[in-house]
Amino acid sequence: MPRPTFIFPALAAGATLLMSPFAHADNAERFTLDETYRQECGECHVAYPPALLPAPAWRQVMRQLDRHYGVDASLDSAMVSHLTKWLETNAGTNARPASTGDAPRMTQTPWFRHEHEEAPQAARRNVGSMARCEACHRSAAEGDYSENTIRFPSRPLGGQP
Amino acid sequence: MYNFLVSFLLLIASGSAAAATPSELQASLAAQAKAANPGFTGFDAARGRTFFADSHGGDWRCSTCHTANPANVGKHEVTGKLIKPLAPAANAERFTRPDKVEKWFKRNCNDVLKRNCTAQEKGDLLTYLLSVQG
Repeated sequence: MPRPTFIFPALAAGATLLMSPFAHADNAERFTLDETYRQECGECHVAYPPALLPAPAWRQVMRQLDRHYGVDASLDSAMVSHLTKWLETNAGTNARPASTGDAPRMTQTPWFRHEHEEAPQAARRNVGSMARCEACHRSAAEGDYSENTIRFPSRPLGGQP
Repeated sequence: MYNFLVSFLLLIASGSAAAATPSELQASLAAQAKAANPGFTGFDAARGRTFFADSHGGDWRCSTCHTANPANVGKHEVTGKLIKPLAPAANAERFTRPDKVEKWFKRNCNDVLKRNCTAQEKGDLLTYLLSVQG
């Protein structure tokens, strides 16, 4: 039986680890996507993990689907309601987006920038937009961003950034 | 009782899937076009072809993403995501789901024309797309 003076700090350390975002590192990189979300919000771009934005930002996105980063992405109200609920429930808690104008920018949160600090310049140039996750995260369509699935493109992707 | 339940459920399921053929959609659009304009004289593939390629005074055309030949694989202008061919001869799934067709007409007509497309315009477009060889 360990001495009582060791138990409390050990418990405190353990609890802190559990609350840290990196406690379950593997699971933090694999996101389960609602199937409707994957289909409806993955038709033009990869279905982004809801953890990338906080709930208020997602609500804003869902309110403005007819002006969705330059295009009309309207959905019927039942669909909007379903997707908004799921996004709110699974939204990120440590990502605070900078807004450029009226739309949240998930690629410009301090958290996102920190996560991508080590991305090579050459890869960034080849990909163009950091919103094209699947260019490097080859399993992004399944919500899997684990490190062993990353492969940087060796040539420019083309198309608009 | 079990058989009844199974067929009932299948009926519900097929109803909500609401599959159609492009011809059925054409007929539905013709009815709408005629209701909107008693002088309606039918759809025209050549008109649809012009409509598809036209800029309509804006930055984007239908062909911007779907390419000049709707039998080709297209590419989203902003995200780079590949788009399966639009012409039914090249992609048998096209124009078989009325809910999907409505969703994309609403979005893309707003993108290209900044307004809804009329039933006449939709019908001309569909008629053109049906004329494109796979």
